[in-house]
Amino acid sequence: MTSAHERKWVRRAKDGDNEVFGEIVHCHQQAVFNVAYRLLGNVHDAEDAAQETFIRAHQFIHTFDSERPLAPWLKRIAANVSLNRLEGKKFASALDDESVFVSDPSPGPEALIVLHDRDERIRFELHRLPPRYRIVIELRHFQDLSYEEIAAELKQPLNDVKSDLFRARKLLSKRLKDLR
Amino acid sequence: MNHLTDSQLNEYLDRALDTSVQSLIEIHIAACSTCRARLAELEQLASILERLPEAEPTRDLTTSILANLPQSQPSLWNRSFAAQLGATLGMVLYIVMEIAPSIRVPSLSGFQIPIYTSRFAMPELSFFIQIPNLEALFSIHRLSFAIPQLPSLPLPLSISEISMIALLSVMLGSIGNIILLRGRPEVRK
Repeated sequence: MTSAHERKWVRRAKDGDNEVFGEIVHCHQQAVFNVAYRLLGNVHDAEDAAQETFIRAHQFIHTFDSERPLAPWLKRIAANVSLNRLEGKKFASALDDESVFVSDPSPGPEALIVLHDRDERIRFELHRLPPRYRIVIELRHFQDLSYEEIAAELKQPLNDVKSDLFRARKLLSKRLKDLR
Repeated sequence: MNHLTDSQLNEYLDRALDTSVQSLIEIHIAACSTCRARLAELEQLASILERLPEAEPTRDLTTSILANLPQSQPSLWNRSFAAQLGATLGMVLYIVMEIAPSIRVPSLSGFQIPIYTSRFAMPELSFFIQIPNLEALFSIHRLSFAIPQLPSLPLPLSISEISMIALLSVMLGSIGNIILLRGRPEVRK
């Protein structure tokens, strides 16, 4: 979709044209789903979060500047929705115990078997990170936000964001050493 | 040799440092194999994450999302409506100009402005604003009219009368178009 085409669709969606909003969903659903999947680690939860993302986007599309690209805005909503879902869950381990931290107390089968698929292995290790590490990795590496933008998005001090990002990278790098 | 901190290496990787500091770090990395190896680990991690392909959802989410959206009426005020309204108002203005051709600039000492003169066979129908002086500029002194005499059939229509009927038809058509097509989505090719 060209940017001019997208701007026209956004304006029509703002006017209440749900048919056009459906086209927007169709174009962006995979990207939004992947934000949620990387953060939540579960396909079903990610699809639910993606749905919630678009419903929220529809609710607030009147606040969106149609001159800007839509994808980054949708991805940030998806990250927030996913983070809210993560924060609503109960976790088994404290943040300090990073070496054995597993976000899902009852990990699925993919956590119990040796993962031969490289991509699944990367997703598994991403999902093993504590949520606060996972979100900064998502925003920096997959949404290309600067430190300041991440701090504003998460409403956290800049130094905390940097600290979380650098520690997340160190942990992830150690766990994915054999893939390098 | 002092090595770079984790923070310096990470910020260097993210190009988040001042240009001068960035240059100093580059010089150190070129000279220090340990820091060079640590930077390479970070770069390899960034590459692994960058090359992670997108997964696909198990189903198309569009239908279920649309089913959960509130149904709203598209706004009346869009560009199509504004264009049609502008064309209609333009035609109304043209018609008004057609039936009020005799507007004269008043003189200062008192003036009489005929604001309407019918083109049809109704010679008694006319309105005048009698303004005797400047102090009473906005007061209506006299307003008089006679009951119009209906023309007999067949109507002798001139070119200007035919054009006015045509314009009225187009105007009514535009108004009808605005009302009937309001809210309908445009047809995409």
